[in-house]
Amino acid sequence: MNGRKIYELLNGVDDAFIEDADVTDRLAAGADRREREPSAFSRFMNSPAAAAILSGVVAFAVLFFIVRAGHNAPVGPDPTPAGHGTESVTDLIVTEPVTEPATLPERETEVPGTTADTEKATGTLPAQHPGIGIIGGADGPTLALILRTVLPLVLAAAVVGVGVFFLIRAIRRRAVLPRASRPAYPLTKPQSILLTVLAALCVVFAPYLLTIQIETIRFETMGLIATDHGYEMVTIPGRFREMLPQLLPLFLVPLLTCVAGPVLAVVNAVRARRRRQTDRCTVLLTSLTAGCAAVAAFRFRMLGGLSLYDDLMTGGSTDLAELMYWRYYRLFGFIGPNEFRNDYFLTRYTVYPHIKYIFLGLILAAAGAALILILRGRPKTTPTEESCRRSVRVLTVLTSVLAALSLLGCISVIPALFTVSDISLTDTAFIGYAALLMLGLPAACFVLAVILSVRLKKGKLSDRTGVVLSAVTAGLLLFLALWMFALTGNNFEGWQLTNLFPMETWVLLLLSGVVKNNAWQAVLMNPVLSLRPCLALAAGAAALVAMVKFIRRRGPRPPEDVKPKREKAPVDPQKRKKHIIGWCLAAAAVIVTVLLVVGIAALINMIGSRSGGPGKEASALSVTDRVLVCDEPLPEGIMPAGKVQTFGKQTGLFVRKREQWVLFAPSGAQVCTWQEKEQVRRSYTAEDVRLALGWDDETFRSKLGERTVSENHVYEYPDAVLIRMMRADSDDPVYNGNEVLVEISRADRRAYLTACTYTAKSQSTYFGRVGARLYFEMGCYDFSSHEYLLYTEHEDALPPYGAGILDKVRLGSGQWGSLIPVRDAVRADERLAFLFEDNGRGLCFGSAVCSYRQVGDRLYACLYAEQDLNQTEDDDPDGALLAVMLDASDGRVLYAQLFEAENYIPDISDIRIYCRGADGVLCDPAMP
Amino acid sequence: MDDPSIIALYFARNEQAVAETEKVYGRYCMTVSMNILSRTQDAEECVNDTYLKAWNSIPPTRPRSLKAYLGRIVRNLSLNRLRDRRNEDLLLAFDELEACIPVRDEQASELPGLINDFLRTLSDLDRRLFLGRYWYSYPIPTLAKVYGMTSNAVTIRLSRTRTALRTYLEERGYRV
Repeated sequence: MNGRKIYELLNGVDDAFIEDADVTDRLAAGADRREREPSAFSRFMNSPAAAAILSGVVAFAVLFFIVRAGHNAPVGPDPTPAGHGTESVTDLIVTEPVTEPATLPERETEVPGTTADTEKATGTLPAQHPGIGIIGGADGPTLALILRTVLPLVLAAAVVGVGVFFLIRAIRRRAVLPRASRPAYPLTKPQSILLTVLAALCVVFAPYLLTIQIETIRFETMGLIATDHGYEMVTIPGRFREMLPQLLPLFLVPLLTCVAGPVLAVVNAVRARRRRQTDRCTVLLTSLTAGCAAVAAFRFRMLGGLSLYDDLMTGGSTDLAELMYWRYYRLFGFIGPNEFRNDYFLTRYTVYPHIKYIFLGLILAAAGAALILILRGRPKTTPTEESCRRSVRVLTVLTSVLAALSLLGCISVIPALFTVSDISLTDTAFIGYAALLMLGLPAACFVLAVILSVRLKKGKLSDRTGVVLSAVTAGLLLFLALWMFALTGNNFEGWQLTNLFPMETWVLLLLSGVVKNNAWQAVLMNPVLSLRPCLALAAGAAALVAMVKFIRRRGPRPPEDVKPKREKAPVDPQKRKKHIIGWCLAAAAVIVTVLLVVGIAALINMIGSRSGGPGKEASALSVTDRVLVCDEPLPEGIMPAGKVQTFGKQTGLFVRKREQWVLFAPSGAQVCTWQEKEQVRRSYTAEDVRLALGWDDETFRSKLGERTVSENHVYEYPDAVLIRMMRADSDDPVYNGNEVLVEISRADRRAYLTACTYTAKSQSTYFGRVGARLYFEMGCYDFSSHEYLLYTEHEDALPPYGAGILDKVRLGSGQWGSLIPVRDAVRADERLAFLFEDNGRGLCFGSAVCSYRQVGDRLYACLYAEQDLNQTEDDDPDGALLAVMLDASDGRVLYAQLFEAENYIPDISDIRIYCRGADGVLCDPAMP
Repeated sequence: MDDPSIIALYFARNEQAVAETEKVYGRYCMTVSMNILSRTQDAEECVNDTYLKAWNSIPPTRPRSLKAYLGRIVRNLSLNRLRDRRNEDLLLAFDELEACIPVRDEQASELPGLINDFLRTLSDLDRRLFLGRYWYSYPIPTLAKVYGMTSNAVTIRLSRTRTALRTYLEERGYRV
């Protein structure tokens, strides 16, 4: 029986009561009742469109501030001199003066002379960086501090306060007006048990997750350093304070979900058992509990920019949280203190990191079973029109916020596009495509929701149309959610997930490689903007709910109640044709406009970077600038990475950057193209090598087996040729035992077998002659798990320091640390940098100093850094090399450069270098 | 003119009865209809239909209270007319009642008596508020204004009354 019939039942009320309750006369004493037709303004303000627009505007305004402040919060000391607000090669130079040990350099500190020197060296002035949201600088520290910390907090508090106010109002209103609520039926025993189990699981699970969250925050403030005994965790002084603006939004949601999950579960169980809430409320709370548990377990990976896949595979090891599992278990006495090992490698693939997924699985199972039982027990009712209206209203509001956030994201990235250098037409097209997808889909969903809402309000929406429209909206939103999850989850590691969307992933990779400062990544992974996948998911769920309601309404209704199909007026074919043409033209205009804007931006930068105009200055980190920095000849020994090859008359190091090769050579640095690089190929045969070695065939075969020369790996030097030989039966360089390096001296035409290695992971780092020597010095590979052999028959062919290195290499089963004796020497003597970080990508660790050399008053050093310590043995190494140039007199870092080892080009704009003092405390590298 | 005189005119088939009815109860009927329909034109049509229905039904019917009689007619007519229109406030009232009197069709015949019994247990103010809201369909702010209360107070009193009604019915075997 519906409300109307009940209403009609009241006709049976006694006449006396009716007369008694009449207040017509009393009302007549006041003003006559006017017709309650709402004004146009009132109608508009009550419409979903107004709610959508207002909420979108408010969300846009508030989030804009939060995004600006949160996104641009400094991760570490800003090397930019105060007042410049710039980002140029000078950013790579840590110019802070000596400060107190164990403190980080102040942001605004500038050392006179250092910057000027650099500017002189580079020949470029710091360029104004038009990137997004540079706050601070000339604004002064106070304003910057307010903008970064206080304002977002105040705004967030205001938003939360308003939300709580309305929530309380809604709760009170709902308490007294339980409209459309289903009565609470007593729980069956299985339901009751399941809800209790769910609550118990959540309560047990919460401290576990909370510990992980808190420790993860702590890890954000810690660094991992390599010591003689393995890795050691150290707290970076002052880092927590610096990172607080970034950490707060990042971990707010996971922390809240950790707390909210058990609270919701307990409240749900208690209230449901006491029949204090409706079934609908029980379903809602159970779902929320499961959602909170899932979010807390996955630690809201999209916020951290790490992949869900990676989390699943490693149990969340990407931020070294494994240690916390050990601590947690030790805390509860599961393991003894001696078993707690500060070696997270050992804990990576154990069962402990995955314990949370066991918990999560149990929670989801309990919640799912409870939901099924409760839903099956609910009476089947036909949704009212008001119920459908509510669902559509929710959908409209959610899609409006989603569209506003997407607009914000696209606007945020526009300035960054103007910093792009050497962008190709393909990149431009993909950027435009991504922008259209990022903005177009949410906008389309919003429009669909508004159409649904308006037509429903006007009574022009048949159930069938409602089903179709809500289904389309749900489909688009769910696709969008999945796509966004893939995007935000991808941090070059979530390939398995992102392979579902190769094109979009490629767009992201292109963007992150092209756009400086990883602007797209920053935008996508911004804590606030990253709520979009969740928002899209919620909106998709709302659309699904609306669709189900429309379907249920359509089902049981008699045919005569179904709104008849609207008679369509005959359409004039000419008019229709005009309409179609108009729409096509409008769509084409939008697409062309977007492409034009992006293309013009790219064109400006291309022209600028080639002519040395504004584009070049804006792109302060362009290849050209890197070259300019290195106008000082680099000693041979510090060739940091890449492939040492000959180009023309020069020999140097080629670092691939897109389709260019940067040549760092003793005589300077150049940029050459791929085609030019190809010309240096030479053909050598195994016979050439044998002859050069002076070996006969039998000796050659007995020592090296059947070998072929890899055409792509012949390195020519003025004094020698280095040839890499492969096994004849395999071209796979990964396969153990394939690699032989032979150096043929041009002076005496003799060949020296430089090295023969058995390595499983060398394909990405062929260092050539210099590199081959570094290869053994670096200790960048963990040889403990791989056998290797070194042929040292011709030790005189090895460089002077190389022989010393080889003496210390432990053959067969070398241990970590034993391969890097140079590091120890360097550390003791020169306090070399050993840790750096890459902004926004978590900590990177310089685990070893590869080599160093002093030339005059400059000390050059090369460090190896693994970008991702989760990298497995079978993965392609994506580590990078950091070359630093220090002032030998006082240890100041004058220049730092990060090089790729394979395809990875990290953002080097915020490299900070720390040194370890004699007392082992992290400190300013300039510390005496 | 009082009710017996007007009813006498009806029985005498004197058309002056309609005029007198309008004169005495015109505003009343208009208010009841407006509360439901929220549109003057529709309400006027309902009121006119009410007079016609009263003319046709009296005699033989001799209402004890002409006001309540006319009120029921105009209320039902307005509700019928509402079927193809919307009134948010009234929908809200429907929902409120649905949550406290959820009965099956076969039990509907017994309910009016029970509701009357329940209303007798209420205080005058609560009963007036209840009927003002659910019989006359007055908006809550209007009731608050008439009775000199805040809207919140009216809302809470109505909520408690509904809860009491629900309990009252459940105690008598009506599952909500």
